[in-house]
Amino acid sequence: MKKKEWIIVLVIAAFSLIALGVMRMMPKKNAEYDPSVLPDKDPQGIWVAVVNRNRVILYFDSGVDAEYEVDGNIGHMTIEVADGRWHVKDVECYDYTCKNMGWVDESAILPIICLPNDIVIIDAETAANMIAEVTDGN
Amino acid sequence: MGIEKTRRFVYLALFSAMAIVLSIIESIYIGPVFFMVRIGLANIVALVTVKILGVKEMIIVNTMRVVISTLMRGMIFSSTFWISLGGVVLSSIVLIIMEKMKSSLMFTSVIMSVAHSVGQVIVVCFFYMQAGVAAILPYLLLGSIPMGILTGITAQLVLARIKPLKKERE
Repeated sequence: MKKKEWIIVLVIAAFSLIALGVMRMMPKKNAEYDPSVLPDKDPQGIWVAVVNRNRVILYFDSGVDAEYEVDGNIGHMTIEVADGRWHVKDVECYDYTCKNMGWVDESAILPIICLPNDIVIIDAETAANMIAEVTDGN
Repeated sequence: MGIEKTRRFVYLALFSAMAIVLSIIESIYIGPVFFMVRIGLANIVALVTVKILGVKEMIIVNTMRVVISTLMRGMIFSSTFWISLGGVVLSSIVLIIMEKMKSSLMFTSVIMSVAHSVGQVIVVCFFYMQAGVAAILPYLLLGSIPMGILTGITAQLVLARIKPLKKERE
């Protein structure tokens, strides 16, 4: 190959490398937030998992005040997080035990459990152990 | 003159057969070397044909290769056919331009390989109406360069062993 030809080939290679670099730096537009995946950033409080049918359907940060909507076996559940605590604000259920449990925080002895909806709201670490135990049992 | 014509015809048939066989072997048995980059074995035949027989014959060989190899794999007029055709058309155009510019074989091979990838990506973009598919192009271009050098070296080795018919005609 002549010198000019080598330069053209190198320009193509450089262009490709620059394009790859630019693409890597660009934010992924289509990357949708998946609530069932434990975020890899540190939470302001703790990561709390909402488990339905032995599968995490939502992780939330107990340090961020917010409201979350999830679906259980028989209906909808609204979870409210405020001041490092969380509770079931509203739920479609027969007996409202989970709603009546009131506010809990990371020091709570019992997690919030809704049996009709098969939902457990528990800290992420315990949720992982709980799911692993059930899965290993299979 | 008659013998010469027959010899050219035989060469053309042989090159077409080689291109078809290499194309089928590569798609069935070899596959992508890394990521989505293939060697492009049939490009060797295109390069050799353009040097030995000429541009017109190279177009015939390339067309035969796309049509017959996809026909034999039962993929004629499928997406594979059009994608393959896109790559071959653009690489053939580039090969003709490079031949007119009297570029070196290795450079022609590299640019041809790059054009093949670009042609395929253009067809895929049109096919799926997704311009975002072009994001794959930098990977393909990077892979095309070593593959183009590889096919160029092979074509050079082949050409060193075959007497060019093109010069006899001139």
